[in-house]
Amino acid sequence: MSKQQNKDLKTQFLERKQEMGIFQISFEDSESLWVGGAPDISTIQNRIVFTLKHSNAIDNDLSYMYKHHGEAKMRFEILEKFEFEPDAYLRRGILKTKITHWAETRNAKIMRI
Amino acid sequence: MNIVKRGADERGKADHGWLKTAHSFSFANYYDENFMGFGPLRVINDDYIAGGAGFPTHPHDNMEIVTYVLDGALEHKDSLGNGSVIQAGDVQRMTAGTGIRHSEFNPSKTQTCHLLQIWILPDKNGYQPSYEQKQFSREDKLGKLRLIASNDGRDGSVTINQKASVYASIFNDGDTHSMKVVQGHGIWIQMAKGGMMVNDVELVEGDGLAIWDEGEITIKGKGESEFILFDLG
Repeated sequence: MSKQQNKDLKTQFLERKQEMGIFQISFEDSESLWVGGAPDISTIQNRIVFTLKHSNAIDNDLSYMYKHHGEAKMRFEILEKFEFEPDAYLRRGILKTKITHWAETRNAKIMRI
Repeated sequence: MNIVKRGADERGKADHGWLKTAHSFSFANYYDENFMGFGPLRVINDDYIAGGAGFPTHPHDNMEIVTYVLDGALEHKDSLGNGSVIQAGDVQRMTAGTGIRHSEFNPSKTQTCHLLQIWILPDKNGYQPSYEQKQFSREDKLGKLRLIASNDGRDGSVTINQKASVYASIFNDGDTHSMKVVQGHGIWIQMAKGGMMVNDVELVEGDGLAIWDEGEITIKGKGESEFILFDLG
């Protein structure tokens, strides 16, 4: 990839319309369910998988399930997307409200990221 | 011209003991996708903060935050090194821009602080964080619209990074003001205290009123009232 292509891709990434969202993670052959939220829903799956693969700096129970069931049995599903809030305080408040709602609705654990 | 009232009782309310608040638009634990703001006006919180209580240090970014103190006082400290007490009648503007952290506490042990906190989306992200505070006397607001915030800081108002003019007013019974609503602009009126009429719509304390499309509005005081008028666009 040329320097210009690399620069263009970076610009595209930075200028994309970011959406916030709520997701759930489950495993085949298990009833355990986690709900989490992210300020950028488009990148959170990669971030979680990367963290599960390379460190323990993530939800302990989820980390245990990932190690014993494997990535092939992990299911990631987006539950809701909504408009990005530019302010950190607003982002945190709205994510907390929506994560709580979905965790109650799905009887799921809240994922600590 | 379109006029839609947002009744005081329709707002999202929360009682945290030390803080009693009403949110005109989605905020914190209150979320309604039908009330996410009005144009660039994103937040109006009607806060009553108990003596000695307040908001510990927390972050903001990319928001123009205007605090209008109605009763009591609020002590502000931020990561830029600013520290001040905002008294009743003061208007504080904080541009969060690339990022700022601040705390807000009621410095009185006994008197409740009543304020409107107003958050306006900036016209672009990434402004340098900054802070400004100005005093507007009661006389300056009596029977007229007093500009308190604007995008060019005219008439001694605080400067916000958005095409918006924010006015504060105290009307007595019978005080009247008419204004044209410019095509493409949105007007929001927030009743802070008391009540008044806007055309044939009666507003009481805590009510909001959204107005858009070309036309004329006439505001008429009904007893003593205090309100904020936003001209957005």
